[in-house]
Amino acid sequence: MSKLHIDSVTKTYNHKVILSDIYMSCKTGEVKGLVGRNGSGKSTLLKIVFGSVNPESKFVKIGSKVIKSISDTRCLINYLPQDNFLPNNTSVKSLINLFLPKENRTIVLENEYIKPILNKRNRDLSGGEKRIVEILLIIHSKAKFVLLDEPFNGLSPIAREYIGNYIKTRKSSKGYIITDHDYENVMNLADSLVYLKNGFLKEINDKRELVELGYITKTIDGNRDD
Amino acid sequence: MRIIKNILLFQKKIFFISYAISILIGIFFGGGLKTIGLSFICIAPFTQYFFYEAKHKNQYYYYYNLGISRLILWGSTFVIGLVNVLILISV
Repeated sequence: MSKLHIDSVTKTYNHKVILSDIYMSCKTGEVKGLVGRNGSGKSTLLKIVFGSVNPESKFVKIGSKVIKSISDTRCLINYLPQDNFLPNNTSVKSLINLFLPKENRTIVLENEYIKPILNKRNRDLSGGEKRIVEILLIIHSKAKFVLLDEPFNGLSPIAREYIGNYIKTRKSSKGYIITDHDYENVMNLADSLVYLKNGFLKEINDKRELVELGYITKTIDGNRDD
Repeated sequence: MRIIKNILLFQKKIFFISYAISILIGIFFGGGLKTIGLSFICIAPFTQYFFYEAKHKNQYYYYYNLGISRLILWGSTFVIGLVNVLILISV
């Protein structure tokens, strides 16, 4: 079992501390939910872990391998950004063949959501179709850990449920860190939850804590906070 | 092999535009093959770089997820440009 160890992450923008000495970890087979208000620094944290944003300080390690830059993340960490990232003029089939290792291609090529759009170019897909292709590519990559930044963005409720269950059934081989404003889906999916506010991370043990922290106005059971 | 194919995918996207820019600049400054070759290595990659940064910045994540950094992508552009210059100069 591998462990993604994130430590001492500090980032400031225009003298404002966005992330202050963040510590976080994730194991293979674990889904960690990262929640927080808009602009709290969730995406920045994921990008720093991935290596595409430079922080003031960070220490990221998988097993004994220290991750310092993008080149170190190969086969170890993959990141799904908020916005579409696949090249536009390429067909879905070509993207699957180019992006995935041989042994993982068939399962995606034969996926019920992918099969009907295999020969379409990425630019001709709807927003939801693009998102499904991206998520499946990231999930089936060789990486041991995947960072999903708002994966449910643009997906229909049925597709959200499908992707949620898809991750659940395949989580044994990878570790996942997921952030999304669809907190109900994140809560249902995550084994543990952390909340980012004012640059600090707080472990959430009870969903009602999110009400106290001002992230949601009522619990998902429907009980209003008094 | 998959990495090389993906670098070629990146190059395919920018190659023809780089050539078009180079030929236009080459014609503007005298039309010689050497001028076209030099603009292919000196001017076109920078134009492409700024165009890509402005229009397709998010697509870097596709390459990052494969472990291909920005330096490798634009370094390969420079190498291809250099090969083109050598071919055009030797003609």
